[in-house]
Amino acid sequence: MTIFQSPLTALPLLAAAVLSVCGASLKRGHILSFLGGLCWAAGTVSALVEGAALDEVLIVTLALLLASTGFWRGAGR
Amino acid sequence: MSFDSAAYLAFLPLVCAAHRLFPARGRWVVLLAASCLFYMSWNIPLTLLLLAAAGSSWLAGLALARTARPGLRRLILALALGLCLGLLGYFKYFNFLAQALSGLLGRAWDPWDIILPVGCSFYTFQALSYVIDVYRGNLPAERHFGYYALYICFFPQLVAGPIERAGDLLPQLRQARRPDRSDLRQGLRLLLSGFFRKVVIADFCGRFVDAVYAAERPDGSAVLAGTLLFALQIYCDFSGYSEIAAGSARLLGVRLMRNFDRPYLSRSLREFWRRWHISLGRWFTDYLYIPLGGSRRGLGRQLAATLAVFAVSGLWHGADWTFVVWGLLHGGYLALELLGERAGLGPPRTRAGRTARWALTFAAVSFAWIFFRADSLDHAAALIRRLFTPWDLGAGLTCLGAGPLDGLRLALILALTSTLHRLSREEETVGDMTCVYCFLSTAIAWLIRLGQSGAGTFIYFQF
Repeated sequence: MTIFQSPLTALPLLAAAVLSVCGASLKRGHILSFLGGLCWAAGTVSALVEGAALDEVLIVTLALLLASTGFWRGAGR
Repeated sequence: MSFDSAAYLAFLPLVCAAHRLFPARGRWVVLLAASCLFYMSWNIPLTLLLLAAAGSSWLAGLALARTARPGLRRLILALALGLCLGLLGYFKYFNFLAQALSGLLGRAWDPWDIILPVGCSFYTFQALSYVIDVYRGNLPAERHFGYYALYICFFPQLVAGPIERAGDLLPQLRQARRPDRSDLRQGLRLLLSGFFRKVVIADFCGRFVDAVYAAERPDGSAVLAGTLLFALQIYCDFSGYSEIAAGSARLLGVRLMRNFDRPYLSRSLREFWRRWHISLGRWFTDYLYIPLGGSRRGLGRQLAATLAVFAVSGLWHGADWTFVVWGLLHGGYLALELLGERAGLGPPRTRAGRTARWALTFAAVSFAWIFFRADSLDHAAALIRRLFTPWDLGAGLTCLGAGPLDGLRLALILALTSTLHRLSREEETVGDMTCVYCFLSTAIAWLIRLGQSGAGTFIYFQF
C-alpha cells in the first residue's frame, strides 16, 4: 500500500491504530479513542496531500472501525 | 428517490423538521404529503394507483365492519382480494403468464409495455393483510381514511417493506408521538448502519458479482466466489435498506419491526426463514400456510403447503421461472428437513455437528441464490455446470477483476460482519468513535462510488 510509504502518513495512522485498540479495550478509554481519531485525521490529510487513492484511505478507516468494535470493552457512551 | 440518493438525505431532515413543528393532530397530514411526494418522485400517475389501492381496501374494511351477514362478508372479502391481487397480477405477472401460455400453445407473444409500480408487491400485501384481519375480526376497521392511507403509503416502508401489520403500525400513526432523544439516537444509529451495509459492503460486492454473472464462460472458482459474494451482497443490501427504513421511521417517532436477525448464522432452513425477511415470512405463515392446513392436517398436507407457500414466495419476488425454482428449492429443503425430523434426526448435540449443520444450511442457501441472481434457467444451469468443471484459480481471479487491495477490503468487511449488528441494536453499546469511523467509511465509499458507473440501486426495489 502506497499510503504507508511516507513516514508522515504512516506514523499518524499507526498511532491511530494503537490508540483505537487501547481506547476500545479500556473501560474509560474514550480520550484515547478520540486521540486515535485525531491521528486518523492527520494521517488521512497527509495521505491525500501526497496523492494516495481513496481506496487505501477506506481500507485504513475500515481497519480502525474493526479495531474499535472488535476490542470494545467499554460501557455505552 | 432512492434511500441512497442525495435527494433523500435532503428530504428526510425536512420531513423530520416539519413533523416536529406540526401539532400532534396534524402530523399525519405532513407524513401523508411527504409519502405522496416521495412516491411521486418515481412516477406521478402511479401515485394515484397507490391511493386507489388504499381507498378500495379502506372501503372494504368499512363495509366488512358494517355487516354481520357471512355471505356478504365473504363477497366483500373476495372483491377486495380480487382487486388487490388483480392489480398485482396485471402489473407484475401479465406478461409472464401470457408468455408462458403462448409458449404452451406454441405461439409467439409480443410483451405489452407495462410499467411495474415501485413497491407494488409490498403495499398490496399490506392492504391484503388489513382486509383479512378485519374480516377475521382480529382488527377493528379504521374509520379515518388519512390514517389508513398513511399506513399503506408511509414512505420509509413503502417501497421495500418491512410489510407491517395494521395492528402494529396504525396505533403508532394515530398517536403521532414526537420522537424523544433515545428515538433520535437509535434512528441515527440505524441509518448509519444501513448506509454502511449498502454503500460499503453491498455495492462493493456487487461489482464482482456483476462481473461473474455477466461473463460468458466464468471459471468455476469465480462462480463460487461470485455466488458467495452475492449472498453477502443481497443480505447487506436488503438488511441495509430495512435499517434505513427503520431509522427513518424512528426519527419520526415510529418503530418498525426488525426484518433481519443475522440469518446466515442459522443451523436449519426453518431457522433461516425465521431470521430472513421476517415480515414476509410471517405474512405467508399467517395468510397462506396456516389457511392451507399448516402442520395440523398430517404430514402430506404440511409438505404440500410448504411447497406451495415457497413457490408463491418465489413468484412474489419476480415474474420469472428462476424465482419459482429458487422458491421451490427452499420449499424442498424445508420438506427434507421436516422428513428428517420425523425420521428422528433432531438438532445436533456436539459442536462439530452444529458447525456441520450451519455449513450445510449456508451451502444450501447459497446454492439457491444462483437461481435468484441468474438471468434465466439456462444461465443458472450453465453456471452450475461451470462449478463442477476443473478450476483455474488465475482465470477465476481475472474473471472477478479483483486486485490485492480488493482482497484486503473484503477480508476487513468479512471480519466486520461479525460485529456490525452491535451498531444497529438498541440493547448493544458501541463507542462514539465506532460511529465516527462507520460514518467516515460510508462517506469515503460514497465518494468512491460517485466516481464509478453502474452503482446499483437496492435489489429489492425491483420487487
